[in-house]
Amino acid sequence: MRKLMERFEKRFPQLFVSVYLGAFEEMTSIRQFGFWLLNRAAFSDVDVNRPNENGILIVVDVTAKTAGITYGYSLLPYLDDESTFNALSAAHPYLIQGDFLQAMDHTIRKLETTLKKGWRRAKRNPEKVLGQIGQNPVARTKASLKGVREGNKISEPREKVEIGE
Amino acid sequence: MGLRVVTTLSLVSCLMGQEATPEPAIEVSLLPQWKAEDLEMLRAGELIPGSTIFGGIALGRLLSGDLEPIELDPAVRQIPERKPVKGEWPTNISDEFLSRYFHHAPEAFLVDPQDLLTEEQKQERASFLNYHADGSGFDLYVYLFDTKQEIPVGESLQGVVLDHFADKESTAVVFYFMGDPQRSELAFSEDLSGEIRMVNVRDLMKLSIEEATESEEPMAQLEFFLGQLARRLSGLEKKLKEDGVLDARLRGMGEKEVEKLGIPSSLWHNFRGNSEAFLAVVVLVSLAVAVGLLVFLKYLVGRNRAFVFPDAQGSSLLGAPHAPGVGSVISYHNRTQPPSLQRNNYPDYLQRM
Repeated sequence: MRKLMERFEKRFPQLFVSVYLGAFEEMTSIRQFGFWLLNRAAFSDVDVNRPNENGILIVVDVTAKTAGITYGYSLLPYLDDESTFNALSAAHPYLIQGDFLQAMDHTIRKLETTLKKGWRRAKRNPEKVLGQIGQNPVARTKASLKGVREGNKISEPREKVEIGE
Repeated sequence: MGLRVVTTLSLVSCLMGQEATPEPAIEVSLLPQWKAEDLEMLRAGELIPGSTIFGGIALGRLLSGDLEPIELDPAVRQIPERKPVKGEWPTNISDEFLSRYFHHAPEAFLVDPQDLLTEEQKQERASFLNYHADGSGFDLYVYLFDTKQEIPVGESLQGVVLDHFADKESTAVVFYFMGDPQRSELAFSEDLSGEIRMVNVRDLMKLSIEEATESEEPMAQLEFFLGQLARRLSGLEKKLKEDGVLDARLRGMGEKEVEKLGIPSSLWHNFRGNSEAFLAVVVLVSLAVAVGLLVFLKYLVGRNRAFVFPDAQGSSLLGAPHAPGVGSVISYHNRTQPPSLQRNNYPDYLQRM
C-alpha cells in the first residue's frame, strides 16, 4: 500500500492519496466521515508541501461494506462524482473479495488516469478548466502553499494519522 | 439311409408309370401315398407331377399345350447388373483410378486414389512415410488397393517403377492390398535393383507380412506391415552403406540439401533484383521500426513523468477549509449486483454551482 502511495506521489508531486480502512459503527454516513476527516486531519506522513486541499481520501467501511472517495478543493477541476465512481467500480470485485490491496491499487490507477486527462486539459487551457468551478490560476509561491497548510499540525510519530479537534 | 433309398425308388417307379409296389407301411408312413386313383389321373393327364411346385402358371401352360418359350418381360431382362455392395470385394479397379495408379508419378508417398483410408488414417500413414523418408536413405512409396482387386493386364509394379521412379534413387515401391497383406509386392528403383538380391526382397516381404498378419484388422495390418518394412529397410540401408552402395545416394541427398537451401537464397536474389519492391519493403520496415521506437520512447518518458497542475485559488464552501465533501460512495455487500446498482447517490449539496 505504501508503494502505491509513493508511486502516486511521484507522478503527482503536489497531490497525495490516503486510505482509511475501518469499521464505523457509530458513523451514519461514510461521506460525512470523509468530508470531516479530510478537513480536520493532519496526515503526518505526508509532505507539508502537499496540503489537504490536494489530497484524495479513500475511506472503506469494512463493516457496512461501503467505500467512498473524497478529495480537496484543488482537485475539483479534475475529479467529479462520475470519475470517482468509476475508480471505485474498478475495485468493486476486489472489495467484494476482501482484497483491499488490489482494490486500492485499481482505484488509484483509475484516479491516475483521470488526473492525467485533467492535467492535459488544464495544460491546454488552464483558465477555462479552473474557471468552470470558480477557481483562478495563481502564480506558484511557497507562501500560498503554506497558507493552505495553515491549521494542520505535524504530529509524532509520523506513521500515525492524527485527527484534529 | 436305407429308408431314403427305398422311398426314392418308390417315387421314381410311380412317376415312370409303373405299378406302384406296396411297401411296408412302417417304412413310408411319413411320406404321401400314391393311390390307385392318382395313377389313373396321371395316366389321364389330369395330374401333372410337380405342378404344386411350379405353380398354377406352369400347370396352365402345360395343359394348354403351348410349347413356345416363355418371353421374359423387358423390364425383367433389363435389370442392371448388381454392383458389389459395401462389404463385398470388388476385383476390378475402376477406370477413373487407373490413371492415378499407373499413368502418373505419385505426388506423395501414399497413393490411395480410391480413398480406402479415411482422411485421418491417410494423414497418419503419410506422416509415418514422411518421417521414414526424413530419417532413412530409402523413400518408401505405398500404393493401396482393395482386398480382391487385381492389377489390370498390362500394368505391373515393375512397370510403375520403370515409368515413374526411373529418375528417383534408393526408392522402394509397394503394392499393398488392404486386408490381404500376403498379396503385397515390393520393388526397388533401378539404381538398387542390381544391388539388392531377390532373396533380400523376399525376406523383407516375408517378415513384413508376418508382422501384418499378427492382426485381423486391415488398418492395423497396414500399420504393422509398414512399420516392419520401414525397420527392415533401415537395416538394409545400413548393410548397403557398409558395402559402399549407398554412398552415391548420400551424395545425392547432400545435393538435395544444397538445392533446398538454395531456394530461399535464389528468392532473396530475385527480390533484391526487383528494386522497387525492395525499396518499398525497406521503407516500410524502417517506418515500422521508427514508429515502434517512438512509441517505446514515449512510454519510457511517460513512465517517469511528473504531472504538475496549475496552482489555483478559490473560496471555501460551508467553512470547510480543505475539502468540499464531494465524491462517490458505493456499497459492495451484494455480490451479484453490479456497482451501478450499489451506488449511493447523495445530492451534491456541497458542489459549487
